[in-house]
Amino acid sequence: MKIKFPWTKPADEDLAQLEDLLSITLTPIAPRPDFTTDLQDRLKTNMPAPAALAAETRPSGQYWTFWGLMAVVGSLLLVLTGFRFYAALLGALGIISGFSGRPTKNKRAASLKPAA
Amino acid sequence: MLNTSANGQNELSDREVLSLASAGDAEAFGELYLRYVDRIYNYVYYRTGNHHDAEDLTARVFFRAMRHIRNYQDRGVPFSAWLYRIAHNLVANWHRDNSRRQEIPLDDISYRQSERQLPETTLLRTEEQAELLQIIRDLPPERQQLLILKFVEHYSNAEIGTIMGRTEGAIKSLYHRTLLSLRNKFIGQQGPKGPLPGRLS
Repeated sequence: MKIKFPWTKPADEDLAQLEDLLSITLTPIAPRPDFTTDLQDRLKTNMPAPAALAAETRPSGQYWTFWGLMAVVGSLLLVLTGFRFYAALLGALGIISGFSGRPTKNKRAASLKPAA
Repeated sequence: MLNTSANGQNELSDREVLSLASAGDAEAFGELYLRYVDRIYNYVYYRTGNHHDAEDLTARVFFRAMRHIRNYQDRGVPFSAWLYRIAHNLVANWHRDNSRRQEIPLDDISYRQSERQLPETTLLRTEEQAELLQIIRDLPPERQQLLILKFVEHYSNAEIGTIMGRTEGAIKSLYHRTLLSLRNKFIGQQGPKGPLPGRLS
């Protein structure tokens, strides 16, 4: 419970009361013990062998295929349309992605993407 | 096999256990599971609103983590952030697949109450809690995540920032905006003679 000072604004009191209500509403709830032990057993039995784990993390060919395809399309576009059009297109794409992307100043969370 | 001290506390840090788990050590992954299952369950429970889906999604979180444990890269972000990220994505998929709304049964709401409270007061508070949970569930996912991490897990703003990939200042600001939004919606539901302020004190 927060201390109520004489100079406390009514709006601040509201928020303090709301925080109190939140603290009694959002409380930790323990999972069923059966569930916890069952899942632990299932995880143990399904744990892949080290060799399988290593195979799973091998870099996928999808990324190479994608970037290879992009390089081919980019080269064709450059040859067919000329440098000016190509530069203008890249610039436009850069501007669009700059405006639509998420702000980059904040640190991002850990990525689930496999390491390249 | 993992070493444990005489008082039952684990001697190995998360990083050490992680390196063992990455090498395919089932015991090590089991240890990580035991350390984080409650937190992930709580997060998923408050995001889904029922125990059945919370159990299902918690299991999926750990199976996915197990499959991708080798891909985990230590970039100074705690392992819990990675798990919360998986949970966040799975819950988002779950919400997308289940467009129907789900209510939290009142029996499931865990709340602390004074034994000296009158029954009327208790009933009033339970109704308020149910309404508040409903309003929380209507908030954007990142605000729900912030409230769960703050009130259920009691993380500091800095820790929440690390988990959510934001700065501490951004979390403070988001928290304040979330409180204001909650208050306005709560008063809106209760009407001008709502519970804030007055009924709660």
